[in-house]
Amino acid sequence: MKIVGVSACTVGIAHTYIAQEKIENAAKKLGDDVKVETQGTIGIENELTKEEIQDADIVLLAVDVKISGEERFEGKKVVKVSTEVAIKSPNKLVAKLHEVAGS
Amino acid sequence: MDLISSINTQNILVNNDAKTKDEALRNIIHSLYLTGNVTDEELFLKDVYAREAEGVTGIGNGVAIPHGKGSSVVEPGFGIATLTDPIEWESLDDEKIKIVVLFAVSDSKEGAEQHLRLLSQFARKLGNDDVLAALKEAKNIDEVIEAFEV
Repeated sequence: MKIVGVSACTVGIAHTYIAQEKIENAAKKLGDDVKVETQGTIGIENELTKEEIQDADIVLLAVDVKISGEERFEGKKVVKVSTEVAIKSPNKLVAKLHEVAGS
Repeated sequence: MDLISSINTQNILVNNDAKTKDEALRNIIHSLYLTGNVTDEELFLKDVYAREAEGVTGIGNGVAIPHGKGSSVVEPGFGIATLTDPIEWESLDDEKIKIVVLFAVSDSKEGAEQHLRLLSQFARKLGNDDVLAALKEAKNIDEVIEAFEV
């Protein structure tokens, strides 16, 4: 399955990147293709391309704040959680993404 | 400058005897003051507590990642304390905290981008279970640094 996502937290220095790492590791464990864009203090990194969004089976937003470019995901299946959820139970979260994408 | 060489060994406190969250924060902040990252310890402590009030910084597995952003930070950096006795700290899994990684970030990102990028790479490492496991086993400064090479 192809997953694209965005992570962003309030200060933009720690949770954003920890969530990114946790989501990517959990998804790779299930053999998924995954890319998580980070919107932190240093700005946007690992930015998602139009094609990647188009090809994705599901979009995961692990965000505590308003992100830029949310309209890019219009028409896609989107799951939105806090960074805490992504950090606490990444495996459960990825399992849920599979469920939502398959439904 | 790469991630490993950016770690200032003076900011790694191994087997720290802090008994409370406040004490752990103060100890790390003092080391960041001594290395010139932070100019005003009390002011920075306030910035850290302001972030604490916004949400839980214990990320599970006995690790906490408090952080503060403010004018008292002249050079972004971080300090690590491994604690002799686990302490009470709000966390996602209610486990007591054994490792505290404190990030200090300046108000302005001007001239600080390289540091901020390093901090973000470093934060990412903390999302890796293998790094956390190695960090919890670390008995000296070298082993703390090695943990991030996983």
